[in-house]
Amino acid sequence: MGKQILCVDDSVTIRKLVKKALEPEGFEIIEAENGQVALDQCGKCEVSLCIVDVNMPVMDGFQFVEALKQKPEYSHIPVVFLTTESAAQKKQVGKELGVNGWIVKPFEAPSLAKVVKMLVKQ
Amino acid sequence: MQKLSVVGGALVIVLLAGNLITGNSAYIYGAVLVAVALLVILLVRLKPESSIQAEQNETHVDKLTQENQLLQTELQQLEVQIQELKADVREKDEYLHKFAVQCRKIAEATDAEKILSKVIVDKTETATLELTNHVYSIGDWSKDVDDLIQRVFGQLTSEEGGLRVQSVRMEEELRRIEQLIQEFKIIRDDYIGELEMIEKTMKSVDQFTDTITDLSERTNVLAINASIEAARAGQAGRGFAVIASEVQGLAKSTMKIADEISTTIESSVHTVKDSIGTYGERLQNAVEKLARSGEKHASVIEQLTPQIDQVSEVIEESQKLSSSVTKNINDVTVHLQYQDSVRQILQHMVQLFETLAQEGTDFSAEKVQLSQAEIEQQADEVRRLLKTFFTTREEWQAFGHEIDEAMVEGTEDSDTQKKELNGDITLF
Repeated sequence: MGKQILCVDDSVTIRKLVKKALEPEGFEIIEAENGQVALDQCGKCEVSLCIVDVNMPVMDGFQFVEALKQKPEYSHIPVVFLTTESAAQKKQVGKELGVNGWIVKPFEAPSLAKVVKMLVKQ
Repeated sequence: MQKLSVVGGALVIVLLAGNLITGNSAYIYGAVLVAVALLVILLVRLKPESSIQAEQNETHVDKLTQENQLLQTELQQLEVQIQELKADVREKDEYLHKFAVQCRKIAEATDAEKILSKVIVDKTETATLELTNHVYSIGDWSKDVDDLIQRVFGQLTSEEGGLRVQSVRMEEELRRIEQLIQEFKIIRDDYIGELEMIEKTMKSVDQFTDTITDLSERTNVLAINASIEAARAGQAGRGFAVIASEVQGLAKSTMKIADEISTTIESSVHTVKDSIGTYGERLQNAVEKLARSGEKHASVIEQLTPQIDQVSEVIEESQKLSSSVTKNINDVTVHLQYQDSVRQILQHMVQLFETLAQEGTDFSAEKVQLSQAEIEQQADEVRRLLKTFFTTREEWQAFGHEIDEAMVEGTEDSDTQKKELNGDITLF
């Protein structure tokens, strides 16, 4: 089984597209519909990378990353935002939170796969 | 009056003094003019005191009367203004009430919009997901078909045992057959030539046996004659008679052998002739069969070559098609993600309307307190208005209403009709 990638997005379609983009590259995709569920998933899996949406119900992307980075056992996990947001101000917030990348939707499957491979050093 | 007299007198004195000092007569005229004016004023003022008082009183009354009229007028105007203001305030209260009612309606409508927005998001999400699954299925099928084509046709064109290799081998085989035909032809010609040589040789041998027969016959005659002569010689020719007898026997034996040789050769010549005919024919048949086989090979090769080229083209086209499908699927998946953008935009709109509706409600609540009955009435009105717009089952279900079948798109068809027609189709 390949490395596990946690995809956090409230859109089922986006989760499906991410799965279809990365599974052929040998990754296993774990899905979560918001930040809270994603935090729970981190405790159950060996997550190698998180692909996170910004705007989500219950717990949004920023809150999730903040919580993730505060936990020593998860703080090393690289994070990439995959969002419709493109404002420089929000990107700066993400950078300050310690995320590794920011991909604006819509994404292209080959590009996403390249970014993921680079960050997990497959 | 006194002050006026003093001031007038003083002015006259000053003017006269001015005449004395300057000698200018204008001062005198001025002094006279002032004095006359003063006199006129004094004459006018010098009326009886009571008359003046009465006049003053009259004037005062007139003034007061005018003032009273003015005040009456102003009072009337003020009353009109008060009435107008009261009407204005009533109107504004009504407006404020209407505003509060509208704010309540907008708040209700915003809640409804939130629910409808969720219906839109859910429907588009479901549709997009279905579309995504179908798109990926198409991609998978395309890949499977390409794999199958590559596997099946790839074997046909592979370097080991493929059609092209087989074709090349067949061409080599054909060349070998052609060589074989040439070799067979040579063998056939050599064989026939050699058999003819044998036939000729046998005929020569046959001629030779004729000579032997002739010789043996003459030897026999000679031996008979020698026996006759030996008999005449008596005892002296006795030995010669024995020799003659032997020679005669030898001649007979020779004749017999010659006959046998002749018979054998004649038989052999027939056999050789038959052999020439039979084996020559067989060789000819073999050559013809090889030639036909070669022709078939050539025909197969001729038909196979364009077919192999077509197979190669099919493989190439399949690869191109598969790549094209993969690229198109990637493009489609990019466009599918706009559903997520639409969802976000809808959320932003809902948030904006919620904020504005809340502000409006809060503002109106400071001025107007709507009763619970009024609030419920507005909610009912909004729901009633919404119902007139509903066209899908999801809209009815989202608000927990019982579906009005007459109002929604499509109807529940019979099973038979559903089996015959796919989709939501109504025939009239």
